[in-house]
Amino acid sequence: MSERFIEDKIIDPEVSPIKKLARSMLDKFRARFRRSEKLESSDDSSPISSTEEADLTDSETTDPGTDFAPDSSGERAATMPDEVKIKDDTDDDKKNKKRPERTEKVEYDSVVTANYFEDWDELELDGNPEIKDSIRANIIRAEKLNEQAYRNAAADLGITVEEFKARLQAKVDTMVRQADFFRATHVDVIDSIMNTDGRWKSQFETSTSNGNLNPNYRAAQEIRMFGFNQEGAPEIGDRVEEYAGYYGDKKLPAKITAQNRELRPIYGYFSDNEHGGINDYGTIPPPTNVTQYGKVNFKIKKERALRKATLTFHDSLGPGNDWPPTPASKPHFTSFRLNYNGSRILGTKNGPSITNWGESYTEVQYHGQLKMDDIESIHMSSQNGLHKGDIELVRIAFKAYKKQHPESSIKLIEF
Amino acid sequence: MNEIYPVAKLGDQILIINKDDLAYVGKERAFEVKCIKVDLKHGEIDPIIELEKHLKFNPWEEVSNSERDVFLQKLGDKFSDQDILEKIIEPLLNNLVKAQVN
Repeated sequence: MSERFIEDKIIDPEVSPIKKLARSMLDKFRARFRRSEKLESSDDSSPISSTEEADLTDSETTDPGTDFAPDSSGERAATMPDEVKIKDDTDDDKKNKKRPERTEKVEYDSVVTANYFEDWDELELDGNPEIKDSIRANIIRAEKLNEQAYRNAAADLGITVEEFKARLQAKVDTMVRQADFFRATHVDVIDSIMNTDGRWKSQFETSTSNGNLNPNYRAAQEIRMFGFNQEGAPEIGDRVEEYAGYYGDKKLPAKITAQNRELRPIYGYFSDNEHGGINDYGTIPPPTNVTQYGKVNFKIKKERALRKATLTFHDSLGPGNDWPPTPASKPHFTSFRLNYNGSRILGTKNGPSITNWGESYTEVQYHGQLKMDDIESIHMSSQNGLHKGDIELVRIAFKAYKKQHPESSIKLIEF
Repeated sequence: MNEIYPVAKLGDQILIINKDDLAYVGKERAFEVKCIKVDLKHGEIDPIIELEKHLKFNPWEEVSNSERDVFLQKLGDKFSDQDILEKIIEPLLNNLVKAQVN
């Protein structure tokens, strides 16, 4: 048997085409980047030395967010789905069918939803001016699109669709009411968030001129979910992914990704575990399902979260996602994506820390910026995948923050 | 054109895609583009996941061409052939956007 690598494991030469291709990629990679004996032994050192950092200064970073101009289009209403029926359907109303101004003119698909919207106009939600209208339109649209899923779930349980929706709404209300709201954060950005920027930034603010990290897909999703920067965008229909492409005349205008970058939603999650645990156990350890996005959990003050957050019980960015975000202070059952055995959710554990309904995490979208002033406490533990050195970095950042803000009541909780 | 391609950085972490998928980033099939997060400081390689999920949650910065080579060299120094092959190259090849069409 020939030995392909001088590494610790010998690879069988009889391999699949993918494995062959993978090997040829590795060979190509190794031809250019040979393993250095010297660096092999370097354990916890930073990957970029100071000399190398000097070589990296050609990064084409642009100035983040200096072009912000407050959106003056508060009067713009969200696009409504064609299926929505408006009472008093006069000719003028028909022309305006896609822009109803008041909730009470819409005919809803269920009593649950009609009740839900009774006090909608009084709801206070931070964010872009179009956000409430967009969410309302999405709820109405989602309930219609997913009617068959609700029928199937109701049939499984031997109850009416209306009864199923009522029970699901109660379940959703309970799960959110008992939850706290979190933001998982990478150690690498904690000091700049706490001691420089005072807020979280999205990738829209750090994109560069090369354009490899094209943000069109997320921009299109945020138009669809929240009406964010929707002015001038093509109408977003069932297949949001079409509008993220470079295809035909549906390309998003550049201003949609360029404007209001610092006001883009910031994403987090909710959980009923005190430290932000979210996995199959509802505790830490084991590490949470969101450690890929950050291992330090910032807990948001609940009263702030209820004013600035929307949520889903799943990842919101999937293509063809017809289960829209709804306000944290007023969640709607359409935010809960029903899978094939969706009816079972009514009989399973209630807490959002154990995502046992076929999703890996719940999701929160914070609007109108997420700032340090919104934070109640910072939770970290080596049991959530953090290294000792990282824990020390967070302690230092926290100390510096408290020095700058002695009045702050934020707590650092190590567990 | 199959190559491992660092596309974004955040401190000592990088996101790697297969260069063949670069054309799909942010476009119609953006959610099908998979990536692998590598922590170069701690020598950790995360499981494969949708690139858009990472870009949604964090302020990743684009990697310039000169940075890309530095990161690849560091990757080569830090990890064994076995790790690069089995934890990065193979998962990315198995999840190519094109591959999912066929």
